[in-house]
Amino acid sequence: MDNNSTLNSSIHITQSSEALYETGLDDEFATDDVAEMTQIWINERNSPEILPYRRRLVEDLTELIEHQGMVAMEGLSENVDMRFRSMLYQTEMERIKFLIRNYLRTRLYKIEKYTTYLLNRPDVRERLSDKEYEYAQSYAELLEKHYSKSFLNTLPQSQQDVNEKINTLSSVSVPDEYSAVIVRGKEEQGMFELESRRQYEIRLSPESIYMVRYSDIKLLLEEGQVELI
Amino acid sequence: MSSLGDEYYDIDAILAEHEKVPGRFNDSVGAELNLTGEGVAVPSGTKVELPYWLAESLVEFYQRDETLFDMETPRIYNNRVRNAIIAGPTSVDTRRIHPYFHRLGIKFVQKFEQEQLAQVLKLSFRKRLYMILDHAQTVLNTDSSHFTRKLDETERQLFKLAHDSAMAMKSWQSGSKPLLQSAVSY
Amino acid sequence: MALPQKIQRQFSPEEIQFIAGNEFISIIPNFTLDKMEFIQTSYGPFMPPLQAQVPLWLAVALKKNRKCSIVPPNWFTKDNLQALLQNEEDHDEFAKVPFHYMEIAHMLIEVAPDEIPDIEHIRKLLKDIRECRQRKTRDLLGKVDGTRLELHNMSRMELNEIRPLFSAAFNEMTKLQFLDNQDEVME
Repeated sequence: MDNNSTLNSSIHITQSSEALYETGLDDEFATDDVAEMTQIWINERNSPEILPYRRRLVEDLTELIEHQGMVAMEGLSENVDMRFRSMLYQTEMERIKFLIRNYLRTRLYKIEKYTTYLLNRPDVRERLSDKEYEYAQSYAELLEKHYSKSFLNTLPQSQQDVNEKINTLSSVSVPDEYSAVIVRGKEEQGMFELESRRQYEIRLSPESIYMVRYSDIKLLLEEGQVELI
Repeated sequence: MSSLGDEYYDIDAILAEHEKVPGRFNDSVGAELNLTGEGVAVPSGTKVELPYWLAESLVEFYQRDETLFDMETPRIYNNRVRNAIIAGPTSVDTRRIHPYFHRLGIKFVQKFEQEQLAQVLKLSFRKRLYMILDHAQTVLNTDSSHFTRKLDETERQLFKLAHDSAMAMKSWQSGSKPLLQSAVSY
Repeated sequence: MALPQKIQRQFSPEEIQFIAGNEFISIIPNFTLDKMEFIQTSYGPFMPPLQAQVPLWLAVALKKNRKCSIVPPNWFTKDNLQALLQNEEDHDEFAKVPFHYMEIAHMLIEVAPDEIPDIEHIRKLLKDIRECRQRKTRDLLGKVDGTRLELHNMSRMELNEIRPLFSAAFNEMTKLQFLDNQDEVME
């Protein structure tokens, strides 16, 4: 899967968004975007399950990069001073592109790892972008064909199901929500009781960092009250 | 280290559960079932050694209020071993006792809720982990095979995690290649 | 696989350094430059000898092109680091440090060694501080019980470094944690 095509194909600069950028109304909005994208990427890398796709964030940043790219290109043909400025713009763009690319690659990794699981769970499926969903489907088909061809077809009919379950042991890989994550609160929010262990509490505050089970803070993460580190 | 959702494919789980454990049949078992692999009938009360994966399933069968099979504590977790660990957790060669000493022990303890064994395993784990991290953080250049020789599989994997992390840090600190390829950036 | 094996469990130190690139630092530009409109926000105009606050990634780019000098942050002096080391040694808990102290120190030493007074002394202090803190992470292991673990005042680089081992240990201890607290019996 070519991640660059995902990046480039979602670029669509409209007259209005360009105007928005020009008037400077975007400034505060844009500042939040880069910092937010950074944290979103960090969360996605650390979380065992796939998190909801941040379409607006990725699309807006992609648009801004495309626009800035044109500005930087223009600068290259001018004097030394302009070339230097272009180089600096380029440096920032590389940073943001890295964030988005790695974010997408991380999600792809999870899609490949948990294909069957997420295709069977509508609530998880809706966290994928349209392209990611298409990818999951083709990947699942590919896997099915591969398994059938390589050895499943040689087994007796009753053993040919690529997804089998024996007691609690399932051949479908599932994200481990019990795995440990490192987390801290985003604001001072007082004490919070752990779901899995009622007698244990953590303090929700940017100064208080904990290693806990992902399942204990899953909801807090969804609500934006904590961030993973 | 495999996570909870991957157990089906986990080779270490498969290997660990090959270990034979002692137990007793409370009822007779017909020859056609070939439970012990020898193709003979097993009379009630017979003591056998079965692979853990099999024993683990057999204890689930009930007949007239009694389990078909009772598993005993495997030899590798007997009092002699427990006392050795309590006396000196970091001196024990866990690998020699069993390559999957901790892994199998944890499975056993989860299934049969044996408190004392759980405490011993916790102690062993904690003290030996300290030793493992200490070695990974302070001994960076030399070949560590003499150290890992006495670690069981779980411990070796944990050592690898700590060691790889320490090596990545070392590489970074001595000036590794930058993340982004552009001429001036980090 | 879409992500290399090594990166699945933790960030690389280089990625942590990338994140630290967003921290602000003071520079003294040695050239004049009009305001620049970056995607995130605008910086400049730069008018020597006035100091400017810019993100580290930009400071590094400018410094590497000899367009500025970097002003080390307040905590990055021989005296303050000495005090920090003392603080670390005097207490069992981790001392409060800037969240990206290792990354910032690394970048400063690599890119602006000429601007750091007593650099050799500072290097030694940083090494001692790190080793002292590393000893504390080993002691932390004793507190892993699969419920929650306090990691206050650890820096991002340090947290990332312990992540694989500690997560694995945490998960293993969780399996032994179904019993109620009877840990004290053994120790």
